[in-house]
Amino acid sequence: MWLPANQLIDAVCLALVTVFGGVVVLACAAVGQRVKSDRKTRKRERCRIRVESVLQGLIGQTQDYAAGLNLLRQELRNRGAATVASILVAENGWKHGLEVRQRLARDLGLVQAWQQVQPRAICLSAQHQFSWRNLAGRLNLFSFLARAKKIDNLGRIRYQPSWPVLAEALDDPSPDVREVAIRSLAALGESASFPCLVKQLRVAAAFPESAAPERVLKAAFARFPLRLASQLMPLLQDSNVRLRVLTSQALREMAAAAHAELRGASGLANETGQELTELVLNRLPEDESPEVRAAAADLAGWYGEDAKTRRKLMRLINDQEWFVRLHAVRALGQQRGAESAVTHLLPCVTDRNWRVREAAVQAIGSGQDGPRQLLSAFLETEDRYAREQIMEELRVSGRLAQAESPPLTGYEAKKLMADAIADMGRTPSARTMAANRMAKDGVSGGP
Amino acid sequence: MTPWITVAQHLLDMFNVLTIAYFWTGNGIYTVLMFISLAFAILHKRRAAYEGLEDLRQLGALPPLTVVVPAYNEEDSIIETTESVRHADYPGLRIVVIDDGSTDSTLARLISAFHLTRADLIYRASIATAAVTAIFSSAEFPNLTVISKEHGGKADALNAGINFSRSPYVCTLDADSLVEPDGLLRLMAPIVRSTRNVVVSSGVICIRNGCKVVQGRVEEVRLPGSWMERLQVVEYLRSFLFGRAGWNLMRGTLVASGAMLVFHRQNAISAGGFSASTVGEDTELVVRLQRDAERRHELVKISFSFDPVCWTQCPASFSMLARQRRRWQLGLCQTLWLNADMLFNPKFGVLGMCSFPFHFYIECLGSAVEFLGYLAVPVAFLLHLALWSFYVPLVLLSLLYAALLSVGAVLLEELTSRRYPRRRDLYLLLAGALIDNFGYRQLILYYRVQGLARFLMGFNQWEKVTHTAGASAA
Repeated sequence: MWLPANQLIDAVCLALVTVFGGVVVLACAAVGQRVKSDRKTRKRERCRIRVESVLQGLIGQTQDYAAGLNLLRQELRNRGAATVASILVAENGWKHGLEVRQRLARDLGLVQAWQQVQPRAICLSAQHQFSWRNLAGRLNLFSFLARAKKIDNLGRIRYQPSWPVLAEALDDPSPDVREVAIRSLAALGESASFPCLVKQLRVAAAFPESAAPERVLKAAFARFPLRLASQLMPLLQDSNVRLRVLTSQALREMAAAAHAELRGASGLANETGQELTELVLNRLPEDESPEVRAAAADLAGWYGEDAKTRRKLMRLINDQEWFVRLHAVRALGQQRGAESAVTHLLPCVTDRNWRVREAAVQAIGSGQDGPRQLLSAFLETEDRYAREQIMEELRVSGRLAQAESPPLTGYEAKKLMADAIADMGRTPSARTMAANRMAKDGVSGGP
Repeated sequence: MTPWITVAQHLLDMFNVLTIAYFWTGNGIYTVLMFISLAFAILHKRRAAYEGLEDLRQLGALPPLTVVVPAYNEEDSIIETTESVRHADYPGLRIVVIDDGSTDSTLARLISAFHLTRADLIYRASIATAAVTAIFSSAEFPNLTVISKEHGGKADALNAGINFSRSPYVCTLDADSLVEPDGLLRLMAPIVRSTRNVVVSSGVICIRNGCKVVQGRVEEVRLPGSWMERLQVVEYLRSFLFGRAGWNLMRGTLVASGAMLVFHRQNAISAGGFSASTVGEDTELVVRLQRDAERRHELVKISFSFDPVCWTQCPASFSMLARQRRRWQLGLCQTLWLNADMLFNPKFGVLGMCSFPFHFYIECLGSAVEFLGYLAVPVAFLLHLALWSFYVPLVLLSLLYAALLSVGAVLLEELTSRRYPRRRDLYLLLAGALIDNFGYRQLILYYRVQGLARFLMGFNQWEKVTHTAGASAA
C-alpha cells in the first residue's frame, strides 16, 4: 500500500462523501432544470398565444396595424423577443402573410438586429475584470450560434434587401454560418447575390475540406433564374476538373428547376444564350475528364431535344466509362417527345454494366409506347440479362398487362413471346400469364 | 503468519491494485466523456435552432436512401415497424424487408397487410448470402419490397438487403424498432452537410416500452412500468448520451447500434458487408469500414446524432435480458478479437490509441475484473485478509461513483431532448440512476461475464430476444 491504512481509509471516506455530494448536486440540477424549463415553456406558450392572435388579426386585416405593432412591442419588452421572432419566421410562414411578417419584423427592429452579424474580434483587454463565466463570451467561442440564427431568420423572413449581409456571411469563419447563409441566399433567390454563390463554387473546388457542403451549395443554385447562368461560363472552362464538374452540376440544378417553367429545352437555350448553350452541348460532352462528360450528359438532357444534342448523347452512350454511359442514357430518356431517342436507347439494353441496362430499360419503359418497345426488345435479344431487366421493369412499373398486347402476328411470334416469358419467369404467375395470353389469342396449335 | 496466508495476502494486494486501476480508469474516462458530451449537448441544442432539416428537404439536397429491415419470426412487430418507416419523412425512400426464413407468419402478415404479389425482380448478389426464394412487391406501395430467403442469420439478411438496394445509402432498422418521423432526415443531414465521406451515421436509440404507440408512431413518451425496464432506460441514456456521443466527438467510435444505422452502400460492399462470423455484426462493420478507409488513406467521418432517431423494445424478462446482454458482450469480444491489431495502433488515431484499448480493457476484460472483485471481497473478509473499514467504503465509493455517472446521464437528457414530459418520470429516472448500481449492475455484470466465457469457449450462436406482445403497450 502507498499510504498508511488509516490515511487510506480517511481518503476513501472523504472521496465517498464528495461523490455523494456530487450525486445530490447533479440530481438537484436535473430537477431544477426541469422546473425552470417548465416555467419557461408555460411563459413562452402564453406569449405565443398572444402573439399569434395579433398576427392572425393583422394578416386577416381585422386588427389595426399600429395597435398590433404596439402589442408586439410590449411582448418584446417583456422578454418575449425570441418567441415573437420564432413566430414571425415560422416554418412555412412565408406562405401565409409574408408581407405582414416582413413589415412587422422591420418595424419591430428585428431585421436590423438580425443584420448585425459581423463576427466580433476576440476581446481580452485588461480593463475588464477576468471571470471564468464570461471567458467563453470574451473569446467569442459560441458567438457563431447567434450569428447563424440571425442569418437563418433573415432567410426565413425572405427580406430581399438583406442579401448583402448574407453574402458577407459566406466568408464567416464558422462553417455553420456559411451553410446557413447559402440556404438563406437560396431562399431569397436575389439575382444580385448570384456572383457570391458562383465564388463559393470556386472555393468548394479549391478547398473541399473547408468549403460549404457541396450538396447544399449545388441545390441552392436551383432557386436562381436560369438567365444568370452565363456567369458560370468562365467556371465551365476552368482548368480545374473539379470546378468544371461542380459547375456543370450546379447548372444542371438550375436547368432542371427552370425546365417546366420555360416549357422545354428550347426555352432553356433561349434563356441562357447561344454561347453557353454551345459550350454545354458541344464542348463539355467532349471534355477529357469522364466526370465532366458525365455531368455534361446529365445537363444536355435538360438542355437540348434536337437531333444535334441526341447525336452528342449518342456518342456518350458509347463512352468507355460506365457512369458516363449511365448519365447519357438517363439524359436520352428524358427526351420523351423524340421517338428516335428510344431507338438510340435500345442497344443500351444489352450494355455490359447492369446499371446502364437498368437505366436504359427504365428510360424506354417510361415512354408512352414503352411497354410495346420493351417487349419487342425482349423478343429480339438473346441476352439473358437484358431480358431479365425488361421483365423487372414491366413488373415494377405495373405495365405487364399493357405489354400483353404486342403488335405480333402469327403463331411463331406469339409462341416465341409466350415461351420467352415462361422461360424468364421464375414464378408461376409469369407462366400463367404466358399461358393466358396464348389461350386468349387462340394460339392452340401450329399454323 | 503461515506462508500460504502471506502469498494470499500478496495476491490480494495485487488484485486490489488491479481493481482500483480498473475503477479509476473506467470511471475516469466516463467522467471525461460525460463532460465532453455535456458541453456538446448544450451546443447541439442551440444549433438545433437553425439546423434547417426542412430546408435540406426542400432544396432537394438529400440523396436516395433504402431502409433495410431484417426480420426473423417478428410477426408481432413487423407491420408496425414497416408502417413507421413508410410514414417517415424522407423523400425518395425505399423500404426492403428481408424475411430471413421465418417459421412464424411474418411473411404472411406482410403479404396480407401490404397486398404484396410475387414479382420477378432482379437480385444481384454482390455479397454472398443464403438463397433468395421469392421477392414480393405491391402496386399499392411501390416503394416497398419484401425479400423472402432461406435462414442465414441477421448479418446474412442485412447483406441481402444491401444487395437488393440501389440507393447510395442504406439504413438498417431492427424489426422491433420504430423510426422517429424525422429520424432518417436527422441521420442523413450530417452526411449531406459533411465535406468528408461519412461512412456511418447513427443516433440515439430510445426505449419504447411503456410509450403509447399509434400506427407505428410513438405518440406519448412514458417510462415503462417495471423497474427492470426503467433501469434499462437509464442504462441506454448513459450509454448513448455520453458513452457513444463522447467517443464520437473524440473520433473514436467503435460501437454503433445496428438498431438504426446509416452507411454508404458501396463502402459496405467493398468491405465485404456484414460479417456472419460475429454476433455483433453492426459493431464489426463499423470497425471494418474504418479499417478500410485507413487502408485507402481516405479521411472519413462517423457521425452521431444527439437526437432520438428510433424507438426500440427492451427485454421485459430476466431470461431475455440475459440473452441480449450475453450476445452484446460476445459480439464486442469477437469484434475486438477480429481487429486485435488495432490495439494501440497509432494508424487509427483516437480509435486505436484510446477507444479500442478502453473497450478492450474496461468493457471486455473489465467485466471479469469487476466480477472477480465482487468474489474476492467476501473471501478476503472470511480469511481475515482485508479491513472492513477500508473495503466497505471502497466498494461503496465505486458504486456511488457509477451512480453519479447515471445521474449525470439523466441531467444530460434533461438538458438536451427532455423526452419524458411528466415530472414523475424524471423522479423515477433519478431514482433509477441511484439504485441501478445496487443489484441491477451486478446482474448485468453476471450476464456479461457469461458472454465473455462463451467467447473464450468459441461460442458463436445468435440468441434471439423475443418480446411479449404487450411489452410496448402503454
